[in-house]
Amino acid sequence: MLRFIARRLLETIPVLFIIVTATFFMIRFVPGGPFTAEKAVTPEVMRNLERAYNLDKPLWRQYAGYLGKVVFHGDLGPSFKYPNRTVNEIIADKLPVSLELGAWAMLIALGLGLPLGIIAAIKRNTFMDYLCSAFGMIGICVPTFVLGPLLALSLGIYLHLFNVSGWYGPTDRILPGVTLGFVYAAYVMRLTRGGMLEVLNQDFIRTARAKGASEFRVIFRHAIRGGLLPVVSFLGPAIAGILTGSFVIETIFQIPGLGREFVNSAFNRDYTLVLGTVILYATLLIGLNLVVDVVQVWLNPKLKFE
Amino acid sequence: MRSSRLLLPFSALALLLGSCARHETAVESGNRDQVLHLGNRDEPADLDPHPNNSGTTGILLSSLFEGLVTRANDGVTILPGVAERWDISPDGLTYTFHLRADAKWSNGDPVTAQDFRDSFLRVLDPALGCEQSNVAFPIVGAQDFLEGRLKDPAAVGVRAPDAHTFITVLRHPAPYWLGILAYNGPLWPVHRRSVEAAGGWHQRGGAWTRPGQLIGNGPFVLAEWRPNSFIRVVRNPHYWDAAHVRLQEVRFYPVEDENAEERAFRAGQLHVTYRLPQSKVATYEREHPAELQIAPDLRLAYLTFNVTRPPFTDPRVRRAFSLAINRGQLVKATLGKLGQPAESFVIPGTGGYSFTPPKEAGFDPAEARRLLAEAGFPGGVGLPPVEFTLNGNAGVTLLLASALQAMWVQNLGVHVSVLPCEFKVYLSICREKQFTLLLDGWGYGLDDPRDPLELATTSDPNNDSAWSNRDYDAAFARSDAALLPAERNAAFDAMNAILAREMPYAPLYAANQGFLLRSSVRGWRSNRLRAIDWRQLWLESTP
Repeated sequence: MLRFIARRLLETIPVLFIIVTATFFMIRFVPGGPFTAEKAVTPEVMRNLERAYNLDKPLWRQYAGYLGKVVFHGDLGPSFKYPNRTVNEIIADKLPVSLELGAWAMLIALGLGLPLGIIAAIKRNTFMDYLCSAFGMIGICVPTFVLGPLLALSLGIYLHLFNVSGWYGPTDRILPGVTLGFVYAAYVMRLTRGGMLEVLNQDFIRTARAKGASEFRVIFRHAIRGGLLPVVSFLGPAIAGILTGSFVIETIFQIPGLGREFVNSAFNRDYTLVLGTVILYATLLIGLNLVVDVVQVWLNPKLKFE
Repeated sequence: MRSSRLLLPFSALALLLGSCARHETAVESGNRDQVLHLGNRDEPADLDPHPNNSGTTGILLSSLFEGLVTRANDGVTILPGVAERWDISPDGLTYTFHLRADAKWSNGDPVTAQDFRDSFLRVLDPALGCEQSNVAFPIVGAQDFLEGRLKDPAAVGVRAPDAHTFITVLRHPAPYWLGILAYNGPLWPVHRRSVEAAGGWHQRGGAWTRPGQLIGNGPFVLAEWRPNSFIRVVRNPHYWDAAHVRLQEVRFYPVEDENAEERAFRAGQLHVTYRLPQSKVATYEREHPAELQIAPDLRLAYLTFNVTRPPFTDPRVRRAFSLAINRGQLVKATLGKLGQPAESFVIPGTGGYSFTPPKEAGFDPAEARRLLAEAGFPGGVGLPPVEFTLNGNAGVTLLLASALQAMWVQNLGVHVSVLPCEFKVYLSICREKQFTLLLDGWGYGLDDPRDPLELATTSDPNNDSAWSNRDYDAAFARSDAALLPAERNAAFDAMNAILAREMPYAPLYAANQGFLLRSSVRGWRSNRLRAIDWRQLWLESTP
């Protein structure tokens, strides 16, 4: 297993290198720059600005300089849009917010999705199953930008239970967490139901039942390990999706998270912030996929580290 | 058994909801404690006033810094700021400001004339590359100093003969000069010692703008800055007029999404919003008319013709396109109350000046068709394809574009194709003149006709149409040199007449501000510059 992990980690290096290089040059070839503003400035001012930020140097030298700083000092450089903050600072400031939001969403997704999926599978083709499946269908169909404002309207504006924007106190976690977690809960529910149904039809379950194991033991001891396999393979990309895709939620609820910086940095042509967030998210994605692979082997006896 | 199993989740939910039962809103507690919650749209890039190029950041900065003069809440009247009085020489070129002795920085240091001289020169520092440094160009030597042709700061027309006297010497009379000094940051003072200590004098991004380090001279000081969350400023006890500041605290919220901002207002989290979605104007008008604020803005939307590309090389085609637009109908169908039709490049009443547009600026489809035929394209036949480049594809932009498209089809028989572009792509298309026709706009920095009219001069970097006219440039120079208002207005009239005839830009509408304001905010006056005199504001709970 250690060899497997070590090899995968080694493979990460060229992948990250390609991602950084491609991003560096792609964002540079997009029209407009960090200092393109609504009111044009005189060519002299533009030249001074570019000189101050080393944008007047040849592109390959900027690239080499950037890469050197990142690799040897872990320094992602100063932000173009927010001159008094470095990219490292912005990430350190915003990533915990996105992580916390993601954690709440994941908690809701699993806390809601797993039990509902298991219930639906056990009570297959009963009213309970239809109820849970309806939840799954609705959850997948209702986009966050509809659910978010709806929750804000009902619980925030009419009932005055929550703030509809901001990230100040513990209660401010509830609306965005539920909104973001809801759609994932629906996916988890459907995957759990499907996985459980498949496992419950297998011979070893019948054997367990024949040997007189209690229904509880059959479900939670024998079936669940196999039944959750689809959920586990979904979780890797889902966590990455929650972290990178929280842009909409962060905008709706005015949350100071990294998702907004990630998207807005591209609009602002904040070259260093684009690169910094891309490097971070790429690393996260690669890391999460590795974790998922390890967990899958552990859960599924048919798989081996290869 | 069954019912108790059901009871558990429900009681948990009830407990949860009960624990966060209806709380006092930010507005309610703010009314009691004099804390103003203000939606301010954008996260400030920095709080250094000199490189600032954002209007919303300018509002925030006006709470932290004060210039020689300030604006009253009507947005027009100039009030004494750090300067308690000033003299203007008869030729209109030398302004002598007498600084008040009790003006202090937020750390207690006195604000001196030298602070202003240092700050004015910092804005012109080539290394700092301040986007709005051109506002200082009326000063003798300012432009040459910025562009590196003049190295000696003593040759720039800013002098501090003693601690309380500051003199600016201008190249030409500029009746708007006091307005510039009051405007948005570039010419406000910064505290040299603390800026230098943080390494920020000759470069941007010094750590001096952080909470606890920022030393200002405005009615408030920076207390907290939580990026993308809020900025909190508290009353500055060292401010010379602190006795008249009634608000204890102001919180600025950078809410980018106008719908989220409106929800925050409705939930009692904001006293004032920066915007209101156009789709909600009618509802507020019907249900909460007291909270709805509609006020004129100094923002003009217009079409920019690329005069170097056919078919718009011919002024007759440009005029035909303009004459085919029914502006009243256009505004009614798209912006409603958030705009008013404009036929002149200068919004009526700007700096007290209004221009009566000639007949040929209005709506006249017959004349439009005649001009187009005269230019060799009867009924639009043979017209080179016209691409209509837009900034973004937001609802109103697309509505405007499709309404215009329809009018040109109906009144000229011309089909134009629409190309929405992402903001920075759009901007670089403008700068590189890679367009035929633009839906464009300009937010005036100054309540003076000079501001929009400068845009059409040959050397202006914002002259996207690439139009150049010697008579126009001469009239512009005349307006700058004019000492008497009548002379100046005559030059403006001449420029406007040339614009109406040549039509490099076709004015469409002047935008209105639309925003929400709670009745507990007292002393607020909506004005065209969105200027706020913080001393005038206080909060009072409505019974």
